[in-house]
Amino acid sequence: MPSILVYAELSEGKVASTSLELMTKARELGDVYAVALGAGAKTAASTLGKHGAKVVHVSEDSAFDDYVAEPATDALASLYEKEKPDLILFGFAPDSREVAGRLAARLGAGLISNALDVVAKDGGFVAQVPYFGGAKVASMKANGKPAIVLIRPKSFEASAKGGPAEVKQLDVKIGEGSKRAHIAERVVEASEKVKLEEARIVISGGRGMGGPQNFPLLEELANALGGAVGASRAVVDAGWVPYSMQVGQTGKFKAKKNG
Amino acid sequence: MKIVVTVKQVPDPNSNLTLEADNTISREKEVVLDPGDECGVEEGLQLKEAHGGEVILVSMGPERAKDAIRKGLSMGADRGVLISDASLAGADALLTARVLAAAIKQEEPDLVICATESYDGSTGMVPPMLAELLGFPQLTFAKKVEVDGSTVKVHRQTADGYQIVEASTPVLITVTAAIAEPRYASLKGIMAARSKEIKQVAASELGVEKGQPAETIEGVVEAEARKAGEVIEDDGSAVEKIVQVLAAAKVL
Repeated sequence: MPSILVYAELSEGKVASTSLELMTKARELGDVYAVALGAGAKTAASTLGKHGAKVVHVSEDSAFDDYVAEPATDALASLYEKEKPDLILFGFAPDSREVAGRLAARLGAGLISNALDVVAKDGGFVAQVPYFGGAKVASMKANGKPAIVLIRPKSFEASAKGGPAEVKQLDVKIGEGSKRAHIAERVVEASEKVKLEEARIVISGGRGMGGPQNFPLLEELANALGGAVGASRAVVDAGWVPYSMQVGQTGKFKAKKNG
Repeated sequence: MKIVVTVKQVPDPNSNLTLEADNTISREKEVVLDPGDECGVEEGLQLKEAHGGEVILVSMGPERAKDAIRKGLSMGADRGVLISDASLAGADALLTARVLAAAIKQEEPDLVICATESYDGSTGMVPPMLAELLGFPQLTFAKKVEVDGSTVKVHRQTADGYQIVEASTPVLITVTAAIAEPRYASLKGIMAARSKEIKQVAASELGVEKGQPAETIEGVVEAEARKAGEVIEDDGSAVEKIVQVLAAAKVL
């Protein structure tokens, strides 16, 4: 059985939904291990066990919450040397992307990003990746050791199938040299609007709206329906609306059942 | 302050992409500077205007990628570096990052600015790889950048607001489209750009090993086709029709 390591991204001490979706896929592919870093990691380990992790490697060192990407990269690189998983799965989410990129460069492994699915084939792994602006889907065989694949949110359904996981304390010392990009403050911009990622209904506008002056029409409609307004990359790039409203390949992801 | 901005020439977003026989994306229509990179160049120029220094554009691509660099030079950047080598065609993210890192190291910059992701590849993987290979911390998804001496502080966009993240130079920053409205090149800028230096470097001069690509494309199939939308003309009954469509979709 191949060994699959899932990087569980924590958000305010809870396992991100995208990470739980990955567990569903990882169970199909082999023996599942997970790694959870930062405040809440031990509680997260129990959630990850319920979703199929046999072993969860944890560390609650505050460096993981206070510094961007580098402490987590150190922890994963050290874990890779010890456990040598065949495949490391990350969600295609901002924090995970940064850790995956640094890790792939440090291990010299490369990676496959933005995948829709990954399957076992001939003792290795093949990922399905949107290609050609999304008009096509490419099958990409992962050549890296380990194979590192980033999977888009909402590609699989999270489901609790598993028992308690063995929790192992990660033995890694985060050096001062990795405590550099310091998160000094977190600012929540209060919004009474429905969050785009959580909206049951998304009213999305593109260039057909004619200009930014017409987006308030969509806001009105969204308010009436209890939904949120999204926008295409073309109009975000054109500066009509902020980046936080972008939906699709590189913005926020919506599963069909929600929309 | 020495600022490197990475730039890429990409297919014109307004043109249709085509595939080569080996399933790589055809670069024949590669005619514009990536719109995300224009924002990076703009931010680099604003930081130079506020703090002094030099803005250097670094790109990997075919000979004609000079046009993309020239565009940035006409906006006001000081000079360019192009790593052009036939052996680099179809390079994956890690090879791209290795090549860029080798070229950027020679410049010893205080600040490297990248777009969050390219318009065509959209994987967003080159910047963190580049930061790792340069040994720099990364300040990412920046919608605002402040420099105070050797401290760089950014507002990092998050789903529900932003984080204030800071590090000491040298650092790598990725910027979102919200960072700055790219300026238009003035006629004077276009004229001046003609005489600005674009240094061409061969991959072999950088000593980068090509290695095995991270992935092999085994096949490409059509994605599930998206159905054409229905256009409802307003002949007086449009409201009723739209309500019916929304009800059928269980939105109401």
